[in-house]
Amino acid sequence: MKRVAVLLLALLVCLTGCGGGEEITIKIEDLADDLLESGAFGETLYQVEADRASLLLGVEVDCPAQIWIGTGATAEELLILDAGDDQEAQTLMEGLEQHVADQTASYASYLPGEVYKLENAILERYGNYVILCVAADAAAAQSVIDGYVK
Amino acid sequence: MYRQNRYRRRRRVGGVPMVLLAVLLVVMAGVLYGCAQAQGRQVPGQQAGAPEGEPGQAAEPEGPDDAGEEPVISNGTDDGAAGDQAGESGDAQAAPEEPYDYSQPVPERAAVEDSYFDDAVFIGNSITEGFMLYAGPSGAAYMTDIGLMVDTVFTDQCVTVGDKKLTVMDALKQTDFSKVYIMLGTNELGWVYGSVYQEYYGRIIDGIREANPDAVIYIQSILPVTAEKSESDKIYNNERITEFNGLLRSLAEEKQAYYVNVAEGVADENGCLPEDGSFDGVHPTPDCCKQWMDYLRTHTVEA
Repeated sequence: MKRVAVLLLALLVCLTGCGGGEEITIKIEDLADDLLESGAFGETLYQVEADRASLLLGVEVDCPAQIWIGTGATAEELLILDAGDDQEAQTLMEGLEQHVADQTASYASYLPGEVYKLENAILERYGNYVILCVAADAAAAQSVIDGYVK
Repeated sequence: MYRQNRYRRRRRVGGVPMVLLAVLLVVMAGVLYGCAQAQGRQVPGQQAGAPEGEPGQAAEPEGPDDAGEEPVISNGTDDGAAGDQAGESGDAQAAPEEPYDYSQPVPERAAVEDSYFDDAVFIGNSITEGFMLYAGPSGAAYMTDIGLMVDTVFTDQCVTVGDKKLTVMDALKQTDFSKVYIMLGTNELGWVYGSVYQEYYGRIIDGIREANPDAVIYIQSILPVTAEKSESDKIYNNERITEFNGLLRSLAEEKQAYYVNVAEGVADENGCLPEDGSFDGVHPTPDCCKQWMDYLRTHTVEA
């Protein structure tokens, strides 16, 4: 009986360890560089300060960030945010989900040809990192991201 | 005889004639003073103007044809009294201001600090969004949407105020501001009737005045497109933009708003957006946005 209990306890510890996941560390500058050079984007993107980007995104960005946005000619943009903790990451995710929804609605009447980029947008959380990538070639962008998170 | 004549001459210059002379001197002094005051009202220094041509061509401000009855703000640039409001100067010798000539673009003057824009609201479409991101004053408020037009300003709930989404006009009513900069028109270049565009734009100005009757309203000229874009596009071309900017200039005069010709701040020698100044021929790059901001700093009016 004792042995069974020990085995069950060990199994429980293993399952807990597996469910928690490994901590991810991303060099956000390197990831941004690789994405920008990947050919995934059709428009030249420009780096934007977080406080300026917050005006457009509708969510406050107050963490280390790589933010690259176009001139308005396309819907393309790239955000890699190191939220630092779970709550901040969740807040950013929710804000960016709304941002993508707003952009989709706006571009539907303004430039319908851009909508597919928003519909295929990569908006994912990896640990406490939040990545939003609206690109002409989402598959190419995802491939680059996978190289950093897997 | 000689002595008698001398005595007589002395009598002629004393008494009553002296009083008359004194009165005459006082009257002359008063006339001279009055002339000096009248000359002070006729302030020189207005520059000769020219009609606006292609986007980007500089239009020098013209002097007013007459002094007018309601001097508010001078649009002279070198005149030291340009910053004085009529009726507010405590200096008895300061000349009253010439009335502002709203038919002319805002003239160039010394650059203001960016704090000038802390109580400003920028209204616009995707072009203003780019300006906001790359060059716009950080203290200003921005009410923008990528496809915003002069009619959807009243219907598009695109401005977040608190936890609500409001139209631009509704958001203005809940915002403290003293200045408004408007740039709308690129998305309307395909409209059949420019007069409709002008009418809606006029309603925007009326709505701003309802929210704040004292607001300084700047109508920004529509930015030009690149030569390549202009030559290849039936709608987004500089001929059409020039036409619409002419409508804006007329509207500024009608509504007593300030027409600020930012187009000349970004245009090349041909009145076009430089080819390397835009990805798609329409939206300016960050560098162009910075030129735009530099132009705004040097083309303001005293509020």
